[in-house]
Amino acid sequence: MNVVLDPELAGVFAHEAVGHASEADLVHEGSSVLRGKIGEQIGSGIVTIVDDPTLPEFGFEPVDAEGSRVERTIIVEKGVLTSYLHSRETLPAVGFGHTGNARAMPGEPPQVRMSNTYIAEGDSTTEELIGECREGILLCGSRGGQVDPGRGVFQFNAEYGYLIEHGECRGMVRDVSLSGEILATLHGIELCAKKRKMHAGYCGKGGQTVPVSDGAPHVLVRDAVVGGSGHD
Amino acid sequence: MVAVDTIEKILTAGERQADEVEVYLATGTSVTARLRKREISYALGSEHQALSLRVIRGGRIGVSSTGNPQAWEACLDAALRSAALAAPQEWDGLPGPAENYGDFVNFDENVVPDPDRVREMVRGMEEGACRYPVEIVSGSAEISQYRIVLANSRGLYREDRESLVSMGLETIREQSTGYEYGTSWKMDIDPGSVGEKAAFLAATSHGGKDIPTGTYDVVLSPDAFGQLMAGSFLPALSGRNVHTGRSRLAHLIGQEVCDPALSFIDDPSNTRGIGSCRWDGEGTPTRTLHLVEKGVLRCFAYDLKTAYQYGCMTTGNAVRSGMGGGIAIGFHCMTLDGPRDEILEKDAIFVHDVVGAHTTNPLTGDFSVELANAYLYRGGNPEYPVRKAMLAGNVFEMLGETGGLSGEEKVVGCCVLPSIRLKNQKIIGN
Repeated sequence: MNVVLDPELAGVFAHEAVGHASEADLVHEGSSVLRGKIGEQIGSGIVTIVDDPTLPEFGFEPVDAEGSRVERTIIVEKGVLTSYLHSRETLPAVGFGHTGNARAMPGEPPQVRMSNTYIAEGDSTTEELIGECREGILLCGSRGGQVDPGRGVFQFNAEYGYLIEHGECRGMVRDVSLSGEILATLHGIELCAKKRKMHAGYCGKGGQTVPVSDGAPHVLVRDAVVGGSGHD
Repeated sequence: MVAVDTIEKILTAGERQADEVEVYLATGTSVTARLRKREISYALGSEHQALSLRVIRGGRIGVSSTGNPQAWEACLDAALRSAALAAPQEWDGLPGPAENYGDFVNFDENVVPDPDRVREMVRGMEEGACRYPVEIVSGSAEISQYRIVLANSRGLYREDRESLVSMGLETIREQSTGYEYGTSWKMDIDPGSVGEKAAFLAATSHGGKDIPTGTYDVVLSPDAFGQLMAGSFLPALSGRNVHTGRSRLAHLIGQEVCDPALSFIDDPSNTRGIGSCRWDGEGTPTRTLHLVEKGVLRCFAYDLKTAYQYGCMTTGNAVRSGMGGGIAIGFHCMTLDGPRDEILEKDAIFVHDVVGAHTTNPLTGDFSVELANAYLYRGGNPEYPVRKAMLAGNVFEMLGETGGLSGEEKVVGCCVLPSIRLKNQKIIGN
């Protein structure tokens, strides 16, 4: 099914499906589908994904938990995997990037974490995305999700959606999930809209929770797997 | 460690300023090791303390907690100020001492937080994983011991000791992952079996095939079943959710809510339950609670606050969320009773794990989750692993027609669960 993701859900995809898989500690463990893929075309040329702790958003940090300078990381540039997210421990072991992504709760050891992660804007309007979708579904809002970065599979639940018929939004649907393979979905992104929105949230990893934000513009994805209980 | 007379001081100081005071003090030690690939990348020995105070004044309830029990005066002050902000409610008193608390104790003196023991657990999991051609990704092992004291201004004074052993291992074979864990209050988990199962899942899930979209009988492992229950069915049995309009089971007491073959029982004397206990988080003696009996809903679970607020009786289901955590309605050891059978004898999809169960709609029970480590079974044998598929449905409705429970059970959080066969479930193929 063709799917248009709203900025909140597309942002969750950027964080869960791509961001976690780009954390170099997971790459080092061998539990990331992005292991060994630096320089490869892992998504469509429309897709650029960035993590930036310097943005004045909920995941802002002036310096990381190891004292390293923070800076913007282009994880995926025009579909090509460019960099992992690193700490001082992972950079020498894995390479491809810079330090500055170590975060920790008080009294806990630092781990590689995201900060403000987003899919960069494109140059289409939201109406153009829905028009190009033709037959599919617009998914809005996020009720959370989960990813298996080693297997390269994700599942997210939208708060609600609208069926798209003949290029227009029609009936409303609820409790719809999007499930997919990370790399196939990245290749399936066909259009990105012009306006990006960031959403604040919390990310849990290794027993620690840190504030983050994620964001995106509206995104058109071809051939996604959409699930629901099918009830009225 | 905080001395017992400190508890007396807190109660005395609290009673001068509130109608009632409750003191919950937890102290513990633990040793943890984390594995990255085949190296112990992190080792931690820690001593924990947590003090949680609850005060009631004019029906206004205030709580505060601290990780530094020596700073109890500031904690008490915070609890009193929090009570001043709270809305008053009906309140008929904290529990006093009871005559009978039962004799079950989930403490094993063989569970000693010792680094050598934890190292053996980690190495045992590694050895078990060697039986299959997989890579170890990560793992962890932990041994903990706790001492808990609960006292209140009505003369209640209870002490207990608890022990906890937990371990888990994640493995990968190319793009197939496997995760297995074990939890117990006794030193009775075989690390080799945990490691072997984690490796087995990754190895046997490799090379999966797609299946067509359709209706299938599905057998959920205790892990998969427990995750789906936790999102909506179990919360729907909480009295607080019933009375605040957040339970689909409200108004259904006496009615059939699932297959008549099934009974849901919270059994705080279950010898396997890691949450089994003699008294609940606020000192009420616990008892076996038959929530659903042969498919018919019999009762909901309550703590004191919710019971007083809505004119009901506590069922002894106050549960504290970790050391120093607040009180909420929960279950001590949820179990499922029903006919035991060879539930994989007939064709079905066996699902070891699911991805995204926590996104279940907590009110309606609608869910759609990705399957993990799923296998198509034909003629009682696994024919092939399922590469990728979704299971979609409704948690309340899927319990309407079941096909039996497995003989084996597993500790899954606050539950001890079997595998369960569900009929006619919707699978979305790739």
